[in-house]
Amino acid sequence: MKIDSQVAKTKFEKEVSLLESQGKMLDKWGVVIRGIEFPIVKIIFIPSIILKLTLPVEIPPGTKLPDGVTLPPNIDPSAKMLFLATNEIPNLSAKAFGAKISLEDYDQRAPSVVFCDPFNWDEIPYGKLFRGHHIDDKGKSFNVTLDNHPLTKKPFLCMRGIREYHDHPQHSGDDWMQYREHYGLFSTIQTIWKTCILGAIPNIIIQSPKQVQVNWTPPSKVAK
Amino acid sequence: MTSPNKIALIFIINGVDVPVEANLNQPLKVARNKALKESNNTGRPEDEWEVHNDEGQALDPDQKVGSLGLADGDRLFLNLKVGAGGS
Repeated sequence: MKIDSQVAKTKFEKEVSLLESQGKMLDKWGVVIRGIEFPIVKIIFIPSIILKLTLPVEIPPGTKLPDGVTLPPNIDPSAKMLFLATNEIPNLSAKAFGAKISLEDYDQRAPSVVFCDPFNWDEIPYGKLFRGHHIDDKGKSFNVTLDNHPLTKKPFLCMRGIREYHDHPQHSGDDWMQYREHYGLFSTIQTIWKTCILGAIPNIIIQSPKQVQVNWTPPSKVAK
Repeated sequence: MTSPNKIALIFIINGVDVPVEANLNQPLKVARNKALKESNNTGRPEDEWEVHNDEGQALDPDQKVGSLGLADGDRLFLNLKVGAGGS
């Protein structure tokens, strides 16, 4: 069902106005509004996250351990010991990316998101796309940047409030119309920021040349 | 701030600022629910809404406002809990 063009434009302008009213917060998050032309908003996200690399390090026998660290009593003092040391790798940090957010037919339909190269606005192929994650209350991470949407055949962000999620046959039971009054342009940008910036902090663990593991670090919780 | 036990919090719901008065000795969810009601976001159950600070950290709504270290004028974000596809 197509929405009346004047209604759509009015809703679009309201969403843009709300977004611009949160300018200070967007600055803090590294979110830049690059272009506004109905029904499309172009946004650039600038992460400032440093990749961490964890490597095994062998401790020579007899090395004094740090204060507070003790070995179990049955360990042979001459045994070989390894520990995992984490280092930050600034030159492997995340790259800037663009997002074209379309409010075509909003709010009969949810906002749509396409990830683009911020220098030429070409769509980023899946092989070169970062892996955004939703991290749940228990710290389990879900990759939510997926490939080959059944309808668009493109990479997509699979999160509630995003058109590609609600249009996906697997989510036909989670209809957009239940949520339309609670999601808009600002919440879309917030979702991208949380999954593709906060949820894209890799920690590469190399236990041996053949054992490389990537953990996705959740934002630390506020102390209870 | 009208009394020593109360602070002003600003909840942001899809870009809209919703200022509410919060009691330091009450759970955060009291202020959360007040913000939802005042902004007419009553279509979904209150416990489907999550509170985050501006660094994306989730705040426990059952904790008292005072114990969460919140200060007068703090800005918090209210979003519906996530439904996500993915692997």
